[in-house]
Amino acid sequence: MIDLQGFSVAVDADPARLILDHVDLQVGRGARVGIVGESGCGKSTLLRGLTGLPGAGLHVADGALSVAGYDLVGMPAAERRALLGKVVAMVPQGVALSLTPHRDIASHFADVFQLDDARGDVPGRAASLLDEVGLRGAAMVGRFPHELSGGEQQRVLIALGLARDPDVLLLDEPTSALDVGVAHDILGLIEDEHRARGFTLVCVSHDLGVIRRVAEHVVVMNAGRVVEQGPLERVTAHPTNPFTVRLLEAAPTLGAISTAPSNRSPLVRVDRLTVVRSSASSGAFRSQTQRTTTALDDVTFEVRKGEILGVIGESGSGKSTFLKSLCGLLEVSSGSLTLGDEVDLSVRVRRRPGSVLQRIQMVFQNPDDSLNPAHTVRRVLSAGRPRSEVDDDQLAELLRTVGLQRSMLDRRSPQLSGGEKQRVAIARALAQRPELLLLDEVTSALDVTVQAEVLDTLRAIHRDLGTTMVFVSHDIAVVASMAERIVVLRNGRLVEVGEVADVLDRPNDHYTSMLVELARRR
Amino acid sequence: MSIAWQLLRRAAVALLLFAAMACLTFLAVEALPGDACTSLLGRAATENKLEQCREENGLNEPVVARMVDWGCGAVQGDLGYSIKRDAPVTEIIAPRLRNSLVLAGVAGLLAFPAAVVLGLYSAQRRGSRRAKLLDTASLVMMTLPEFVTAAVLWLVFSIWLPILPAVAVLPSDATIGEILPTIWLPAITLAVMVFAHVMRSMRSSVVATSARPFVEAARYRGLPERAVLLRHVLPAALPPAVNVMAVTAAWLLTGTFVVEVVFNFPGLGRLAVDAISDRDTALILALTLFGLAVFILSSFISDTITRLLDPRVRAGVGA
Repeated sequence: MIDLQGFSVAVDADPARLILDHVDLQVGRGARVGIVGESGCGKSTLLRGLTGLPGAGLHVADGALSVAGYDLVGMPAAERRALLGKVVAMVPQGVALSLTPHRDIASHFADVFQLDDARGDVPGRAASLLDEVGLRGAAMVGRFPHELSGGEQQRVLIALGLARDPDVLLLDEPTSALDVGVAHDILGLIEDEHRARGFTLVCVSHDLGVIRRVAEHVVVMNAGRVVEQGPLERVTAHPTNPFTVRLLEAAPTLGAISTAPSNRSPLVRVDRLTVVRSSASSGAFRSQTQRTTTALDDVTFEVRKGEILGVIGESGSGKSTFLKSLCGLLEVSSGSLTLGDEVDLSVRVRRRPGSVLQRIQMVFQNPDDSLNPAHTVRRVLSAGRPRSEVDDDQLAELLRTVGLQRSMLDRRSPQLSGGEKQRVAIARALAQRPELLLLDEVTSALDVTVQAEVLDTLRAIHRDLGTTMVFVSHDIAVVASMAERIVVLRNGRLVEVGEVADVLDRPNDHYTSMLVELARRR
Repeated sequence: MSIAWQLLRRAAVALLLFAAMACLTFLAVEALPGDACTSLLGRAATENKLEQCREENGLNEPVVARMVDWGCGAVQGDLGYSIKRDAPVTEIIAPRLRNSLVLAGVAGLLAFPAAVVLGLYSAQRRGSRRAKLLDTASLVMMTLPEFVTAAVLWLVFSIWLPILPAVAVLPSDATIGEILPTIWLPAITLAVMVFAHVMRSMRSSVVATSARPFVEAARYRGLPERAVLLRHVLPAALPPAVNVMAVTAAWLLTGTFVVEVVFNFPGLGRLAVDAISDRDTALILALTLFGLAVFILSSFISDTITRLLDPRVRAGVGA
């Protein structure tokens, strides 16, 4: 069905730079292929390239591509366009605003139906397609993208891809940024559709778990080349390429679990904590409808001195709200939050004395947002202290703790890789010698191999400095590999809290058991 | 909250803002050295005559009383009386307001449609030779002072090809038919600048929108380029350009005195310059408030259009 030979894609502005370097790929009719690799490896470009259009600013430099007998590289642009959606259909990432915000769902389908010049009942046909992908189609057609959840948007995009019954369906990260339960359902839908319609499936993901679910043939990419490909079982069980080995080893699995030493004294007491958040913005002359949500509802547990406490939950579970309340960024509505024996943490950050601020430090999810790109690493790490007090040796020591070289001091964040940025952010937090380190999804923006390295660094810091950590993540496998105890939150309520081994082996709640079940399958 | 209610609320805010600015303007004019009587009497002013003039025109009343008095009049359409020109302010302004509206209208019609279309074109074909030429030209047009543009236009249309009159020699109350032939050169001068601003904002807005994922997604669905552009890019790219159009439209009505002076066009701009040099307080006040109203109204209109283009606001989901 797909025959790719010596396929190369180069940058328009710099034709010597190859994003794809002589890729060969043969896919049979009805096959399921997964392409896996880290960010920047060229996997998305390869997927786009299968339509003959590698994307803005890129061009096919070399090689041949034949899909369903059509030579997609050689043919004129207009002919190729006519085949898009009919022979090859692309399903873009749902969460990345791939639906046009000012057009309702029916108009999206109308666009596509028009291409076959089939007039008639657009809403009806759209609705039946949407029913097929598990949405209530009749109710959905009149809605706008912003009224849909991430999972619903992804389903609509799949339905749009299927609208003209293509021979080949291309899926780009179909589950990224979706909650595990939702992602599980989407993958189920893809499997069902493949069985029912028999199209050829090519799916790109950074997540081996996704590839394992949908693919039977796996292609591993690194730096624009295919480093290994073969049947899924063979590649995952007996990888031959060192990069594949690294990728497989880095993927978090529910494996070794550390146990918590007992009788530690509590560092933070969370007692019947309730946080009500209002989503209305305030302005002098503007008043909006106040929408309030109870982000945390009567939650009680404790963070013990010297432990790593894992907090897990999906979006909207209240895990970020908990961290923000600890930092004093959100108002505590009722209940209490105490640090040590005496310090009341329901006080907002502006009213907290410096000594309290310094005891709690936070590392944010995305270092691109939390590091000022204009500041050198030296300035980032010495923030808050006068220049005369800043000693390069101290800073170098700090960098060493997070596994970076002294030579990094003069760099700025755009000159650093994703993993290095996050290490700098961790070092910045450590510079204050905090008692409590809050880690908010610190590895979710990182590639798996980089994630594994950063997690190792955090473990080393915990071992050497004994800093108490609260580790928040949506990925139960990552949390389980880090934490000694675990807190599960859902819809602002505490589902359960306990030692990791207990929670994983004997979950008290069906929600926890679902999370564990899904993580085990990967 | 429904869109109608939102608009009503914003209209109320705009009105309140206008009232506050009106008071401020009144006090600012009051704070200027001299008043209508010193300017009317000029060198002939003696203490006695001044006192008498002020008495006759009620200038001895306390500031606040005069302000309230003036405000009440303004609400009923009476903008006061120009002592210097010996006529009601409304009568002085009316014909010139009409002239200015016609001038702004012609300039806007020349500039806006062309700017939107060429902005779209230049964004779509960026990197091509024509698009580059257009960009450079717009940059030159934007920076060219009005009097230079005017001089070039005179040279071409009044001297080399004498088809258009260089200046207007008309009373302010001439009929529109009489004004139209003289309006082309000032209108083109204004249009040049307005076109450049709107085209450039349109261009950058289209470029930014084209980079958004939903545009690529539409393209990969196999839609023809025209459909992608008109249905997916344009509605999302318009709001910033609409804002620029609103601001430039307001400028066309209030900021045109250089052009009016250069072409001797009987519009509001020249009147404002004269009013200030004459210390004609009633007239200054009326013209300032007119400018204020134009700016508040134009931002209200552009805000409304922007909101109507966004389904999130249309559906009444906050904003």
